Amino acid sequence: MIELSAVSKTYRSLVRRRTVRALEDLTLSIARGEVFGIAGPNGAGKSTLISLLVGFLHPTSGSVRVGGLVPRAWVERHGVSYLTELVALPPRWTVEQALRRLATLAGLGDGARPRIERAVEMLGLEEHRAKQVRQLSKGNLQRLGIAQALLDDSDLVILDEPTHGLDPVYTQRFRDIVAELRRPERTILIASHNLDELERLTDRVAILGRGRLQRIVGGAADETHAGSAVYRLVVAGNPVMGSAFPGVPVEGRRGEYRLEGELATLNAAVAGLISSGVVITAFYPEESRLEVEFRRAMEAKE
Amino acid sequence: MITRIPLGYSHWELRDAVRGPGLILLAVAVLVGFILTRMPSSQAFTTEDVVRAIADQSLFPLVLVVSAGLVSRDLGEGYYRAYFSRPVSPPLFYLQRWLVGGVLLMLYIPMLAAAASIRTGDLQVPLWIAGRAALLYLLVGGTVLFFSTLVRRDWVLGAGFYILESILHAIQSQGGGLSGIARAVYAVLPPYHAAAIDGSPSQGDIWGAAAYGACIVLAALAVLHWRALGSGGRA
Repeated sequence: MIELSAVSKTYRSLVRRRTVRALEDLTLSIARGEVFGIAGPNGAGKSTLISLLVGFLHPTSGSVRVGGLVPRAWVERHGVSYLTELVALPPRWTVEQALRRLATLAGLGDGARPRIERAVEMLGLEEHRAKQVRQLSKGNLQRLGIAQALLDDSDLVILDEPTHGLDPVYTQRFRDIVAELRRPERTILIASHNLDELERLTDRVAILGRGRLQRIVGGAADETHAGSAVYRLVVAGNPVMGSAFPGVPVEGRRGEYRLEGELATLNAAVAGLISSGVVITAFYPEESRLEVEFRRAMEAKE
Repeated sequence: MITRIPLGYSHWELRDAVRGPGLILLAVAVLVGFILTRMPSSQAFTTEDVVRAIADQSLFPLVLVVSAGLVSRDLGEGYYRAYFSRPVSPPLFYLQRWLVGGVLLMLYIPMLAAAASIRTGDLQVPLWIAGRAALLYLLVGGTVLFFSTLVRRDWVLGAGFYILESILHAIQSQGGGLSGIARAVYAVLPPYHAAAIDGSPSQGDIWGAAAYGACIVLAALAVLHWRALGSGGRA
């Protein structure tokens, strides 16, 4: 669905003659049906990459193709369900009007009304319909941004920092929405600083750093943990751990422990604890795989 | 579904135009009507006299009001991201917006005629003035649209071009010779004088000006087709 080949993007300031390399030699392929994440610190090039995919920017070198076409041609034929990082709509539009106008531009015709109603209901915007955009709080503006993106029934969904400013209720609602959006013919791209969110929602995550692709990490579908890692073990009561973990450094006390070792070794030890009557209430990696990979990518970059 | 020509959106554009610059046009017409009712009845004039005098003084600034920021506001504020993530062609979207502005400006002449008719009792719309207004919108509105695709202060550049051409045309028409650079500049500037209400341009001048205006609008659409709408990842 999306093919980027040796893509670089450099911003040039005409006045000060400064140049900023936002993306450098990026090669990436995203399949139809995939939910793909983009992670990276501020200034990593995430928003530039998205602007290239929607055709709002042209690459300085390399090629970008969406469905085999240059992005603008694809967008002008099919449209994109797109949420910008900073939701920008004319301030005097009301919520209702914004959705009706953008549905008109999406060419929804008679199908606009039910889609607007559904988007309003999903994002809890009923009581804000008559409010002007300028009267909305940050969170409500973000919900309007998601609602307008959901109007289109496009095969390409691009969401830039979708949960920025959302409260926990709508953060969870957003996760449900992404699950509903998943379809074999639809590609979903989510750019976020929130690694936990990306790990929950995506199949793969590209980690960008200083404009370069640092690595691609498997998301929820790839849970293999190779090598030694740090885990947290929480048990009921305060049992004597004794030699339950031979050769494994165990830190902590009063039922909560930090262990470092191979997952297979630790699993066997935990099984031994269970058979000896210890009640395990939690056993989980201290850092998710994505967090580990992100940290390693940033350390390698420095 | 392909909606490269966003015709369905035209009523929203019309609504925005009426509630924005349309109110200013209406206010001017109402003010003219009010002033005419206060003038002594000994003064005799026709509807055409009134429309001609008012249009001559007000059309240029009103064209600027109608056409300013048509593209640049969306690019500057980032609204284009919501519009053009839809199956919509930017050149056709802005051509439609520009045409709606032109329709609104055309309504200004009948509005002036209606205001004048309060006093004269004769509601006759002088079509030749409407034609000059259309030509002025094509030239000045087209210039502003072109600059709007490139810079934020489009109307300032549009006004600057108009004033410069007016000065050079005045020197030229009063028999003063233009020096080499001034003559070259005058030759390439849009022939705004052909749309002046108080002028008497030939048919050739009018057609030449119309062709020039059409070329400026086409150049603006070409820029919109080729340029990247964004200037940065977030901008």
